[in-house]
Amino acid sequence: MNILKSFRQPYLSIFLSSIILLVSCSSDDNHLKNVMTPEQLLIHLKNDNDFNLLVSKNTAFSNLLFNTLKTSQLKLDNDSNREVDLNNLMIELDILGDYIAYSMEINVHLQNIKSKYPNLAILTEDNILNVYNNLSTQDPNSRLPQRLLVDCDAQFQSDMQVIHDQYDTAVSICTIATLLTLALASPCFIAAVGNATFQTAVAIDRHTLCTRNQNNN
Amino acid sequence: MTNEMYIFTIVTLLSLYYYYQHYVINKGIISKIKFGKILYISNIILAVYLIYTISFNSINVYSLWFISPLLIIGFWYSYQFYKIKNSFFDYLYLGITLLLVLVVFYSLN
Repeated sequence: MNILKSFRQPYLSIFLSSIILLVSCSSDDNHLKNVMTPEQLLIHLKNDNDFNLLVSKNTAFSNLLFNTLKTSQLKLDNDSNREVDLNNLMIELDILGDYIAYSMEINVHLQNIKSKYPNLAILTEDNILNVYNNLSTQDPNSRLPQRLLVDCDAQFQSDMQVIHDQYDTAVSICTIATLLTLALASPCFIAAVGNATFQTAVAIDRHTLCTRNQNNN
Repeated sequence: MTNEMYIFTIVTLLSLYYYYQHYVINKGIISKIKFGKILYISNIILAVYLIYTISFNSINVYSLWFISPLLIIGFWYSYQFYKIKNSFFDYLYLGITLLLVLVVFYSLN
């Protein structure tokens, strides 16, 4: 009878639900690590280390970029910071491992470059994304994320990433609370599981709606 | 009513029912603990606070500092509770539950 009385308490169902959701969330998240959304890329390009353009030292990618810029004066062979003559304009480049970052300096001179070299192709955000996508398909060994996600997929992936992170935090704190209160605070696991399920459903709905709108357009 | 509010309301009601049942079953033991009822209510407040923060996605590791007094009270209450109850099956069940919690935590990290 004691056993039956103990099992009437909802611990088991709570924890089994937690484990099922945990396994379902964590088993297939490897593909997320290799993905960067356009927004993340642009934030990375714009804000990280104050650089506005990040290119690979890889020859194919460099050629691709510098062809876009219509310059061919750069030969990159040393891992050091250097100034280069880009159409008579000295621009500082930082070489970060396999990548090269143009300093924000280029933005200051952007108008000068445009007026002096009207035929020079300036990389816009769209151009950067195109170059990036070309590189990703051309150079599978690149350490850049394997692909860029766009539109609905990107939104869904980032939604799921947020849900996953929130669920991890919630379960971690519930675990600490449950251990310290000797299982008395365990109902918070229901909230963690319920919230993750609810948010996943909302994300799926949003993705379905977004795909439908995209197809209509 | 937003989704967050739905989750908060449903889970809070379920939890309150659970705590009520727990109180009804273990009324005798709780009355033997000094300030038992107050400690038990503080545990309910802790659980509802956690449910609220999880439901509204405002939970973070820093919130542990705010709830640390309630966690200590919860530990003291539970320790007294199991000490007075002194039931083998409850110890066994608690052990399995905490083991499951640790498995979940280990899987996450």
